[in-house]
Amino acid sequence: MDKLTSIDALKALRERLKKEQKADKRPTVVVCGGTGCDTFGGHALYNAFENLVEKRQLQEKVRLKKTGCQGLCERGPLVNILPSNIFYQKVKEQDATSILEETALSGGVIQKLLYTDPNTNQKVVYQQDIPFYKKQHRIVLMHNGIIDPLSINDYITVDGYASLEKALTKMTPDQVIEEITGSGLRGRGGAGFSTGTKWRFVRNAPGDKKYLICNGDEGDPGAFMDRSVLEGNPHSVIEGMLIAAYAMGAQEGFFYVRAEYPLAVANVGIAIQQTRDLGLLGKNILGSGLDFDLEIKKGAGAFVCGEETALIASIEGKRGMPRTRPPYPAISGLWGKPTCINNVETLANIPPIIEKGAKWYSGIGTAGSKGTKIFALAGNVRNTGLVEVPMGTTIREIIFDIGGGIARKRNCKAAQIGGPSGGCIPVEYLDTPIDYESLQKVGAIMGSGGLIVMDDKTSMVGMAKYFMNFIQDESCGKCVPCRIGTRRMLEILTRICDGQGREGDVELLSELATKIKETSLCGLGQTGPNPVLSTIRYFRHEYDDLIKGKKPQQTEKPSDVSAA
Amino acid sequence: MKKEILTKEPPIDLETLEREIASFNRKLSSGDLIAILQKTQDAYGYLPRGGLEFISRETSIPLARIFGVATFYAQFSFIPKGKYTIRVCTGTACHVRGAGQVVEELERNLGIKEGDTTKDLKFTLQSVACLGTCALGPIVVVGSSVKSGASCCDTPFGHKVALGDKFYGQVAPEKVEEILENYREA
Repeated sequence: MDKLTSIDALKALRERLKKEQKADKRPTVVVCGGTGCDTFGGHALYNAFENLVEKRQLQEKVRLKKTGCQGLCERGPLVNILPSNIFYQKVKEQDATSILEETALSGGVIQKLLYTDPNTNQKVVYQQDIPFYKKQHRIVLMHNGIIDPLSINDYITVDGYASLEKALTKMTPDQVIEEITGSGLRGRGGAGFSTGTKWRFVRNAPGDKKYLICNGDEGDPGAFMDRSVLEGNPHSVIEGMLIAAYAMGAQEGFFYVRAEYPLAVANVGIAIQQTRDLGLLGKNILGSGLDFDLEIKKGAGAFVCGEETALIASIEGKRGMPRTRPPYPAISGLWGKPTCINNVETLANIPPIIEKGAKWYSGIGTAGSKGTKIFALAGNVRNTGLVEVPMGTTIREIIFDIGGGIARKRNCKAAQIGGPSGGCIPVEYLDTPIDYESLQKVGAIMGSGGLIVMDDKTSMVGMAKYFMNFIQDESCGKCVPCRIGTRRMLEILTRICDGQGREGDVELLSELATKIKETSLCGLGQTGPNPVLSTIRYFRHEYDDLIKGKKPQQTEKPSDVSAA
Repeated sequence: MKKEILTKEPPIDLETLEREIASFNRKLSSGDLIAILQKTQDAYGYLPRGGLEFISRETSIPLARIFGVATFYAQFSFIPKGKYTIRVCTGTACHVRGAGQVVEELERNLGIKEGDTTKDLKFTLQSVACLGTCALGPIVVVGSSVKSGASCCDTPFGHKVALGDKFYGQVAPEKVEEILENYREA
């Protein structure tokens, strides 16, 4: 493909691609290629379709496409027929023939592959009618499941890079920052800092060399939205980074992606190469004078590297240990230069905000938390997967309306939000609206958006021990409260779980937790005791019962929780 | 995190490492250290001491610093692994769906503890914090410990990269034997 050297050339390319697509009347068989569906054989299924189309010479009559994660992982592999939007789930290789013949070519519906609503026992034909999708508001995930992540043309056809175009031609860098500030977008990595304000700091920081880092070190166990965005729509993140670079004056960017996400690393690498080949990365992008290029850095398995100063140390090739702030990375970050670090989901929100405006975006959500948030719904819930909802949606709506309720006819006991830095919210508080402040009030945090549902067989002390085990294992060891304090907390939790708890252990845990929170160097230690504090707050009786030698309420041992 | 280090190790072929370093196509800087270590681990299945000494000579990064970095990250190992590495996700979502019992069953079946390698050097068993496939927990991932060209396989998107890892979803303890069967013969 020839390099595009002007904005008009990009516009012309988009027009041509759109025309081509409009002229193409073939029905499309879309197979979900996300890691989840592939686990159930999505790749083999796609190959089966490909072989069939080739064998029967159907290339003129039907189009095949593999997309990123479509969200409803639990029911994978998923197949969607466009334009009708007939939706099939749990599709097997041997179903390929009938899907091609009966649905793609004849428009019929195959009953046995349809989704059955577990609450009404009704079969649902179209994707948009499934409760799981119906209640979502997809902004970031809008094109996941529609476009082929390995085709830059597919992205351009759905108005991809049009926001970059708009920013470069119609907006000054200051206007871009104002727009983002005005939208109310807050960092989706967990802390919820205003994205526009962060950009302003970096723009105003002295120095001509500035860096931009996309934080894809999604280490929170239970969160996988960033993986799905990187796998399923990497160009949306690249476009967000290009706009950010223009706004802040950054010349170089890094994708820091976990090594545990090989598919994300691969897809981002291909997307970067395509963008560069098309002239959207490099020197003088589209003749606008903007210079920006990107590189991938793979993480090596350290949870603490999601913390921004630790992440910077890791990119510099050092042990990923955090350092005290200030100076903040906006002033002195990577190699001592002003650096902006944004989360994957934050960056993927940028193109739609630039396209539709701050007013539109700030119209979604609550007073303090704007826009949508993606949650990774997992645990003991019927429909696990990725859901994107407007801020202000209640936890109950997510678990029961979208998630279809609790699996295996059990009852909901708690929802864990925010991973090892978050808290367990008991069933009485499930009507809490999801926004940064409300979650904090009930002892959890937004975090990166892991939402794990626990049924009534789950031991909450066991969960607290589980998270503390994780935190003390991932503590980098630099500061004493976190290194030693989390260890002591784990010892106490272990003895309680083993029936060796002592009078006063809960008080000791609370005291340690508070001290560790107050005195730790970075976010890991400052939030790590949260799961313990929140379980003590809401499930104190479970601690007391174990300490008094009473049999735990649940049938299973606190250590092994419930079996699948 | 405690890491075992070999005192005596089998001789290694440094040519592989030389090729990996050459593939960067530029003078290496300290910022490349983690990437080199990842390539070394992929090539040998672990970080051989001789390899680390070689990297130190090539990059002028002190050996002590290389060890400092390598011991910090969970991905790196200093002892050879089995032909296949079995990784069990013990992230929160997998945990509440019973990943603990899957680990126990694998330990029982293979006769080793988590973190160890079987005597016949066939399997290494590891538990990992989260593989990001939470919707389908418990997850077990099996792949070659050495990710050289020979073990390349297609990703779901058909591009050739050194992945070679097979994901198994919703694994119950009784499914463990079935999964292992796929690798015992090969």
